[in-house]
Amino acid sequence: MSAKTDILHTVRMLQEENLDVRTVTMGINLLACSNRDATVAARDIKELIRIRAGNLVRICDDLTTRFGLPIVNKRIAVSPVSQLLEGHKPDAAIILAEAMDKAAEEVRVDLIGGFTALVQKGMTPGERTLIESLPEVLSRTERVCASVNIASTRAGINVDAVILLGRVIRRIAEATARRDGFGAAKLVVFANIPEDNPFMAGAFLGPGEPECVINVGVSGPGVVKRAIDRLVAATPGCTLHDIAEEIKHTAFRVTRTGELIGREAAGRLGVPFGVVDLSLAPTPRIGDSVGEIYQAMGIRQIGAPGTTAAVALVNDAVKKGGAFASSSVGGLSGAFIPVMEDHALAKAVADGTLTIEKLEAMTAVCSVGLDMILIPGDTPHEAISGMILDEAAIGVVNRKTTALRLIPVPGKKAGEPVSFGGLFGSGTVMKIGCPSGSREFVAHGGHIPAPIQSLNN
Amino acid sequence: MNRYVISVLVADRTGVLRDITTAVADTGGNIDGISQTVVAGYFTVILTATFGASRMTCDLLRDEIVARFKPEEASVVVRLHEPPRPALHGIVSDAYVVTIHGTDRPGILKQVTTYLASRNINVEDWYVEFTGNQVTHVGEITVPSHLDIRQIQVELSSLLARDSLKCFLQHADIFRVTNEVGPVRNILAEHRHVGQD
Repeated sequence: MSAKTDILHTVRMLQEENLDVRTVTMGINLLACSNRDATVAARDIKELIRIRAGNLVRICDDLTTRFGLPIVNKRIAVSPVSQLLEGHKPDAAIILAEAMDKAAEEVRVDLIGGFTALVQKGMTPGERTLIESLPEVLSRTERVCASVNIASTRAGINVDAVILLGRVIRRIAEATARRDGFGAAKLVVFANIPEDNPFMAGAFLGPGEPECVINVGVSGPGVVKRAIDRLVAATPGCTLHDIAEEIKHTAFRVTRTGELIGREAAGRLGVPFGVVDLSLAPTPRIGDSVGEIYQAMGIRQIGAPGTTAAVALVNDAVKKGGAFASSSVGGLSGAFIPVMEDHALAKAVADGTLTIEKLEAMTAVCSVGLDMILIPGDTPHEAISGMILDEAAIGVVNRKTTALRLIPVPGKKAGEPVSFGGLFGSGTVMKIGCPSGSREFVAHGGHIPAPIQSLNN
Repeated sequence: MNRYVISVLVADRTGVLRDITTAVADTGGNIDGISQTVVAGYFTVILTATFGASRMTCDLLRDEIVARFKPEEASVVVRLHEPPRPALHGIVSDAYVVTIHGTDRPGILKQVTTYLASRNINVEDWYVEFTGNQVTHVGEITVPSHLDIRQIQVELSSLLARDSLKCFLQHADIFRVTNEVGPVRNILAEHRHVGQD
C-alpha cells in the first residue's frame, strides 16, 4: 500500500486543490442512423444515444463515490453530423440537432458535441448545409456543440470555408443577441482537429475511432499552481527547470486519476477506453485558473514579456508528465487559455495587459488557440476570417492543433464587460487592430496550399 | 518443524533488531516474516521464525531473546504460529482508505473502530500524525463489497462531524495510481478481493 505521505498528498490534491475529472465523454458513432427521412434519422439518433449513454451519468456518480474524485461533466461526442446530412434539405439539420439536444437532456449530460464538419480540403453539400444551419441550430438548442475543421498540415487551409465561417459566426452571434452572442461560444473552428478530444465545445468522434468509446478529460490547474507555490516557498532560489520538473510530476499524478476513471467507466459500460486528455482547463473559480499558474511562476502581469515562454514551459511539462503516466494520452493534452473561463486571464484583458496579439503568440505554444474571446459586435466578417486564417497558419505550419472560439457581442464595443455565467464565465470585449485592413487578402478565397512540413513521407 | 510468532517492545536504541535476530538465528531459527516500527521512541517488531527438528519451545525462545536485553528492558511475547483465517474469510471485499482530520480529543479511534467493527469492516493498518493539537488519522481498511459505500461515507462523516472532524473514505486504487509508476491497467487487474476463497 502507499506510504502515509503519499496518501496525504493525494487527499490534499482532492480536498484542497480542486483536483477533479473535468469530463467523461462517451463517443458514439451515429452513421447507423443515416436515413433519407430526417425524422426517422432523428428518432434513431435519440434511441441510440439512450441505449449507449443511458447509464453514463449514474456510473460516473458511482465512481465519484468510490474514489472520492469529482467527475464534473458527463458528455457525449458523436460522429460528424454532416455525414448524416448528405442529400438532405437544410431543415434536416435542425431536426437532427434538436434530436441530439433532446437525447442529451434525457440521458442527463450537459453538452453533446459532434455537430461537426471536416472541410479542410473541400466541402460537400452536407457539410455546407451543416455550417449554414449553425445560426439556427445554436440558437434553438441548449446542449448541442459544433465544430468545423478548416485546415490541416496535410491539406492546407480551406479559405473559402473560412470566409463562409466568418459570416456564419456573425450570424450566430446575431441570432443569440439577447444572450450577448452566446451561441458563438458553442462553435469551435479548428486546424488539425483531434479525433478523440473529450473537451467541449470541440469534442466529436473522429472517423478512425471505435463505434463507441470512453474518453476522459482531466484538468487540475489548482493542483499545479499549489505545487509551484510550495516549491517556491520551500526553495526561494528555484530555477525554471525546477518548476518544470514540479509541473511534470504533478501532471503525472493528475493524468493517472483520469486513466483510472476512464478504464473503470469503460469497463462498466462495456465499451473500449480511448484516451485521457490532460489539459489544464480552467473554470471561473478562484484557485482553478491557468493564469494563476503563470502568476505563481512570477508573471505578475499576464501578457508581460515572458508570458509566452511561461505558457511553453507549462504546456511542455504537462505533456511530458502525461506521456510518462499513461500510454493512452490523447486529445489536446496541454494548457488551455480560454480567456472568459479563467478569472486571471479575464482580469488581465480588463487591465489591458493581455491583448489579442499577445494571446495569438501564446497560442503558438499552448495546446489550443484563441479561446472564448469577446470581440466587438460590429467586427467585419472579413476580420473574423482573417483571425481564423492566422490561427490556422500557426497550427498548420507547426503541426499542432489550433482553434478559435470568437464571440462577436452584438451592440458591444471594446472595453465593455460581458457575463455568460457558470462555466462560460465573464470577460471584456477585446479590441481588434485594423479590422478592415486585410479585407482584400481574405477575399481572394481559394486554398492556401499545405506547407512543406506536410511532405514527410 | 515449528513456526513461532514473536513480538518485542523496547525503548528504541541502536542494535535492537540485531539483538533479536541474533537470538533467533543462534538457536537455529529462520526468520520468514517481519514488520517493525517506532512509535514515540518505542521500537516494536513482530516477526515469524521457523525452527527445524530442534527442541525449541515458546518459553525457551522467549528466554533466549530476553537474555539479550537488560533486565526489564524489553517485553517479549512468543506464541506457536497457527495459520489464521483471514478476518473476512469468504466475503468479497475491497480495500479502502479512511482519512480523518481535525482537532485531537480522546476517543476518536474508539469511536471510529467501534463503528467499523459494527459493519464488519476490518482494519488492516492505521497510523496517526500530530501537528500541534491537530490530528490526522490514516486507516487502511477492508470493506465487504455488499455494503453500500455511500452509506458508510455518510454515517462515518456524520459520526465525526459532531466534533468538527473531517472524514473521507476512498477506494485504495486512487492512491495506488497516483503514487505508483506501473501501468494503471495492471493495478486495476490486481483487484484483491480479500477473503475470497
